[in-house]
Amino acid sequence: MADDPQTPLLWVLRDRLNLTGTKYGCGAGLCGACTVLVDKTRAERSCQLRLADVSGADITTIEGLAAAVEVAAQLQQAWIAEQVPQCGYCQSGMIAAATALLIASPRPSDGEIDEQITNICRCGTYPRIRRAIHRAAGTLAGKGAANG
Amino acid sequence: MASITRRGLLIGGAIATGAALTGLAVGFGYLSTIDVEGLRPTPPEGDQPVRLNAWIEVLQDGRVRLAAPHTELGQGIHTGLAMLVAEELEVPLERIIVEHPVKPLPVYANFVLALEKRPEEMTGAFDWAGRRLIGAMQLIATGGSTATVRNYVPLRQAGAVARDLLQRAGAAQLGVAPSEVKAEAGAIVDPRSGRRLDYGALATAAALLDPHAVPPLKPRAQWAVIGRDAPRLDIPSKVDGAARFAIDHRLPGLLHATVVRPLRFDGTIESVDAAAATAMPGVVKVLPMDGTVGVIAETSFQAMQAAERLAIRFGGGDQPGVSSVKILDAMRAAVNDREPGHVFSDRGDVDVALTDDATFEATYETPYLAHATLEPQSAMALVEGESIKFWSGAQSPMPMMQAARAVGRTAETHVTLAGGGFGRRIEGAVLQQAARLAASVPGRPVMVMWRREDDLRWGPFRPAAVARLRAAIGKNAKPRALKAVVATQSVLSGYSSRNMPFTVGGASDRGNVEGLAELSYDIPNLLVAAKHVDTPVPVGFWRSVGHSNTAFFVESFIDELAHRAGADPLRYRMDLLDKDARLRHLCKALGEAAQWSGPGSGNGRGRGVAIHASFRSYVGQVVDVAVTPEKAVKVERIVAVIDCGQAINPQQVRAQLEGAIVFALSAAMAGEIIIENGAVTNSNFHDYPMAAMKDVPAIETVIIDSAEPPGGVGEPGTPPLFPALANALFAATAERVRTLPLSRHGYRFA
Repeated sequence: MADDPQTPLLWVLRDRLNLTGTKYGCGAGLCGACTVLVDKTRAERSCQLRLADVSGADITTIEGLAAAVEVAAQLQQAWIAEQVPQCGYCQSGMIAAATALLIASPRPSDGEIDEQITNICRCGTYPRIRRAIHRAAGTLAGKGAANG
Repeated sequence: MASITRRGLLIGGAIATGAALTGLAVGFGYLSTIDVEGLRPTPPEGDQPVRLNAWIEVLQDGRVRLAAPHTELGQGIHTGLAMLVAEELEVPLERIIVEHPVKPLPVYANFVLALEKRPEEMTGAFDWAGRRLIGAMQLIATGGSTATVRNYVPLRQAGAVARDLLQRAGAAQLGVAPSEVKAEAGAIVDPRSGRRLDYGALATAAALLDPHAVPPLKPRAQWAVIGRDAPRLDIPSKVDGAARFAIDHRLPGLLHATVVRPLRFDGTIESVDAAAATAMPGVVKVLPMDGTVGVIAETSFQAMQAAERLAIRFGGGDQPGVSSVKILDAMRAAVNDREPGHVFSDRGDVDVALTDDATFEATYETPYLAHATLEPQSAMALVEGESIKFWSGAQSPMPMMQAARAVGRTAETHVTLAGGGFGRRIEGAVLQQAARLAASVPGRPVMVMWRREDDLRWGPFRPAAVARLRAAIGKNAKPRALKAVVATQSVLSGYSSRNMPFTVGGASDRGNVEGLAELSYDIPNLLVAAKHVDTPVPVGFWRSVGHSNTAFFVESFIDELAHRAGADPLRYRMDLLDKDARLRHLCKALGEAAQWSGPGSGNGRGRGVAIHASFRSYVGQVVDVAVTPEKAVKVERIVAVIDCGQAINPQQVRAQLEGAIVFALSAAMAGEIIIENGAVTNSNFHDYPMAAMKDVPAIETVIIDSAEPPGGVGEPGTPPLFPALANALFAATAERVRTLPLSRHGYRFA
């Protein structure tokens, strides 16, 4: 990797690896458009992670999220079922954030969703995002029950 | 009372731009050669997709490619337009691929935006010439909530004409009369024999036929697509990272650029010392342009870092002290002085009524606002010989063509998905920068992207405004007269000064008072006037434009009148709508949907109502709030009712209502661009905050069933939220907020 270790992960993903599903929105960790899944557990804002910070870490971007994490695949289906995206620009980050939420809390309350999903959607798709998270959580719980 | 409308501006601009640049002799003979119907097939070539008309291509596998000359900004327009074609072409919606056309044919021009009429209303000689002129000028644009209005009839006709060609070609191959076959799910079927021929196999033969007159369109009762919820065609690509916005385009050898500009609106660049910046790794070039400096590097981050290292000496600043506080002072002074301003509505005798009767007056104020699209301003450009190719989520390819001409080249225009638009992407600045930067490195593609801070600071902004409303109260506590004076900064003046060869607008810009000048309430004496306060602050089109201000003024004021009359605010409005059956019905439906029983009895809880007509649609909203003594606001419920005529894709009408409401909620609570000493002080989402998940309640939406021609849906949901929320706060707290945002008064989201 030719980049300076101080380069934010966001730009390594976008400009070196051509993983353009992860978006730039603010560069200051405020909007969440650049959210990625780290070590298949945590949602992190990649504009705030330096290349040096993620040495040895497992980074999953939207392009590989559904294949890597069952929760994400269900979230994507729920996103389609609830017709969530409008412009769609924030949605990669939203789905990454929702994936981490469901990994940590498989049946989140509205309060948990409010607390954990702090990304900005300028188109205002929040009510549909909330429904989609509940839908995916319900589907996963049903699968869990069926499998168990 | 002549006033300037967007129509006047666009036609004037098109004539001036077109005539100046192409030397057109605009005469009947020339105009009659302009095809504004686009219904003829193109002779097929080999195994290329077959073009049945300007809108519809059939691929060999039977899929259909729709040329949609409107930008997908998130409003779902590509799917809505595909539904219109699917209905008449008899092809499954999921087999339609929608693309913005690269070639700017005259038929794709937005006649509705320019002529302010529905296509089916364009009948006379003026419209005949106007359409062809607008077409010749390639006035393709997405804005003014017009795309569905523009295409509702023409795209169904295009579908019907193409289907007729396929039907005749299919009948010939099946050896039966065209009347004996039917079109069904992308195939021509002979019901008697059961034989079917797929469109993909018929398209070549169909394209060799002459189109007949437009067949009758299906009656509404037979619709299978229009008016039913359809999943959006673009959504699967927007959940897995595949969707490509302008900034996601990649070409071999791509370079990245950003642009530096003086912070002050009246600033200049005196000199640039680029030594430190050019010495940085990856930096390719530093290019001073008109009033800006571009930095080109191998990666976006390198370009941004190098931009920080430029040593620039800024000049200008001969208008010290420009601030949003002083601008609002000037607007306040303007609504109070004795100058009449530009009068837009004048009926009855307002002054006599205001002398005779009991009067009530109030002054309202709104701030500058930014669009803050989540994808910042961005464009990719590539210069190859005499051509320049653009990729950008622009709301029109016209600024691409203008930017190409400015560097002496011809444009190839690729309109991409946009990460939000809201009126911001009708502007050409980033395209001009992309053209200049790409022309400095011919053969290398250059991606220009503004940093968030620049996107937020450089505008253009929704203008601030001050309105003074005075009413004479007649019998039954109804307003007998209303005098409204609005002082603001003309959007048309700002837009035309940046994007046209001339500047028009000022006080006579109808956008200053749109939504107020054509007031629906039955008030016998009405005077509406505007004053233009000129400032160096750039202003532009922002979702719902002037309505975003005037709905707050009117619907707050009516609420105050209702309260003074001791009347129910919804009932009070309905009693003033005897002459507007549609709005009256909307109020009734809103009351039912919200189970309205009045604004509540206060003590920290309240309900507010507002209605507003804009962009050929009507929206009413009821907002419930709970407010703590510390002014923490929880919006508990929002009910919205829309009459947009015929809804094409109802679930997307709901989505637009939801989105327009959240857009306004962000602005109403804390949206305020603050200008001090000639520059914007806001810089990012920490000081220009957005409503978040926790701030937004469930939004209940109702679409009034209607067979009327469609109205717009992208914008009309935004204006009523401002007054509905302020009215709810009044009901909850007895504090009447007349100045937005609410944060100025200490309110915040709980």
